[in-house]
Amino acid sequence: MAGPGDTWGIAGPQFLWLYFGLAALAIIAVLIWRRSYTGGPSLRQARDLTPTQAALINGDRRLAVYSSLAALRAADSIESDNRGYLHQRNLPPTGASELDRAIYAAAGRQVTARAAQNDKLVNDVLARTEAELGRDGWILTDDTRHKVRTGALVVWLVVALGIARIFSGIANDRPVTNLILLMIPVVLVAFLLLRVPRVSAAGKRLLSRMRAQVHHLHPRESPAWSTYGPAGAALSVGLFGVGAFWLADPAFAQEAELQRNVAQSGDGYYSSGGSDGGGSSDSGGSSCGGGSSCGGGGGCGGGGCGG
Amino acid sequence: MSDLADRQRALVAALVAGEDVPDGFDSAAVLATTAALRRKRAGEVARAWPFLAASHGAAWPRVFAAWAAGRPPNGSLRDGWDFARSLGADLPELARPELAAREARLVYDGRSAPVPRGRVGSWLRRLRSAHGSRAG
Amino acid sequence: MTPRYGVAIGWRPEIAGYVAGLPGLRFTEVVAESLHLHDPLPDGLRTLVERGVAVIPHGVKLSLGGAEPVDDARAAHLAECAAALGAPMVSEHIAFVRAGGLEAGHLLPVPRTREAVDAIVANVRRTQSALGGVPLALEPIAALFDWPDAELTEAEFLTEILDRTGCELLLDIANVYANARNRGEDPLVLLDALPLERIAYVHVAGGMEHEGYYHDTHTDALSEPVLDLVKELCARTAPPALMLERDGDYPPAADLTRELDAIATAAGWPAIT
Repeated sequence: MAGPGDTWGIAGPQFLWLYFGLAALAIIAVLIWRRSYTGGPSLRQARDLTPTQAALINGDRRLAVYSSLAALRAADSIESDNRGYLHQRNLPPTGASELDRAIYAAAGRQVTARAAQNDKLVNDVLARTEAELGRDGWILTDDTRHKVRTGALVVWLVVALGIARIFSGIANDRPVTNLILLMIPVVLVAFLLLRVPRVSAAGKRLLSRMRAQVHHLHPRESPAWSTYGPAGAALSVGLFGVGAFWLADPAFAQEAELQRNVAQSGDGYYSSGGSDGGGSSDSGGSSCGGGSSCGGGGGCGGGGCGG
Repeated sequence: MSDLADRQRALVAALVAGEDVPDGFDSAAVLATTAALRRKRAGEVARAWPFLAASHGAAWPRVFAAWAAGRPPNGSLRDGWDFARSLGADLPELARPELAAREARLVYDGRSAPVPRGRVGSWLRRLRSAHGSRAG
Repeated sequence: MTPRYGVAIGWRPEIAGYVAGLPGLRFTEVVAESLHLHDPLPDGLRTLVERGVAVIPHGVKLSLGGAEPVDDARAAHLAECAAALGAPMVSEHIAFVRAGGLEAGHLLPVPRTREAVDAIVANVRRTQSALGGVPLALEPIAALFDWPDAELTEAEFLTEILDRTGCELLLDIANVYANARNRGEDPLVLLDALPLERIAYVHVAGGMEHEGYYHDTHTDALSEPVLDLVKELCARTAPPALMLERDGDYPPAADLTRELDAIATAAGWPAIT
């Protein structure tokens, strides 16, 4: 029952309930609306991603360039000099992707790995692939993300309403503590809603699915690029990050000055070459540790089984 | 039985600790085995320490074998660790984060098997080495 | 005639994807010391086990040929690997890898004396009791040198050990070739003297010549002479499996396929690729 002196003619407790209901409604509505954009397509009909696509979803354009560099290195088609410039070495591999070939061509034009991303041809391929992924819904285009971010406005309007009520309440000498407390989570959510992911939920699930299918390409397994070939190398980098490159071809990675954001999986990359704790010293007769296929060259060879 | 034990020890010592080849053995063949053993060891250490090995490029087997001569193996984790530490300031740039990461996660006194650090110790170590590398 | 398991390849994490993709694979082997049983089995191995492929844990550090008694913990680990994999057998070597506190880091030959036979038999029996009935196959190794005071020939030595332990033979055909080559003998003579009827399975591997010695490296391509020996072996007996052992310097998948097919051809067996 509204009393005299109530701010805006609505009693405090009544307003709190109204505000709570309004905020909840707004947030739920925005979340549902958001999901229609960030959800992405169904995985049922989704084809496997190419290494370039995987890299663009998992990382960014730079990772896509790195995945192509991995393919070209696995095929021994390019090399780097000690100033970081790429050079062609052999023909590109058969079955090379469009990006692979674009980067190979760029390597004939005095570029560094870093600059290759901005080479016209390379940039075209990257932009086009990104746009396709955006159209299919695996990643969110800048337009979409902007639109989704704007949707958060609705919640900010609710926040504004609350702030207005607070100021009015103070001017009226009414208690506003409860409203402030109620607004804290609303403001938090309003801020969170400003963050829009780059990858749709479906895109993340598709990446997971692919990673499970090719777990043998995870750097922890020290995948043999020579055996899996250029496509395998590219997929390894695209799905598992630049650390896979550093582990498989550290000399090139250093010369070409590949970015070392191994923070992507902690320092796990450095430890994947050997187990911890047990070491491979024969202490206490536990298993040998120190190397994924330990016990000597992965067996008794490398110098001979006793030879 | 202890005679067999002694003789086996003498052979292993000749192969990895630089002692003389025991009587009766074909010296050339034993020496060839010693070389093969060091190559194999270099390969195993490279597996456990890929950046350390890669930072030496094609010279890795030779460089490691030279250091390892006369030093009995302690397993690839310790061997690589000892070698990396022995280089001190000469440790190539590429190999430094790898060593730092291991120093952060494990405690190794150079004498017995490395032991995992506690979580706090590990985090502190990482902070210290990150600060050091920024300042350095 | 279909072999029990056929042509096979050793499982290594570096080529796990290739191994998993072999349609006809029914047998493989994994280095026991590379399995850390407090962790779950590597995905690739688990998939093979679920598919019904026989996965044999292959020990390399038990040092059965050492004068020192085999470490109970190592024997227990080998047994645990067999249990975790549901393996029909395990294998190890007739060799020693440590003595007097020194690790050799490699498989070393044992003297072909009665004293050494006793030592090996004792260690094998210790291991067998830890294995609790899972059969153990023993692999003789290749060595560039022999001990000076051999009382038995390689074949006699091996037969004596197998007789007294009841173990089967893991025949490494590349070792037969290497030993014969380095001693300047005919590999067929050695082959004929071996107890071929006790073969559990066979290793086939590549090696290379270096400064006058043939090294059984497991990191080189198979050579014609080794493939010829495979053919000769299969003319004499029917081994359950012929397993390609590759430990490093992995070649393109097509090359591995070529080698597996070459083994199949030499044996007269179906290809698994």
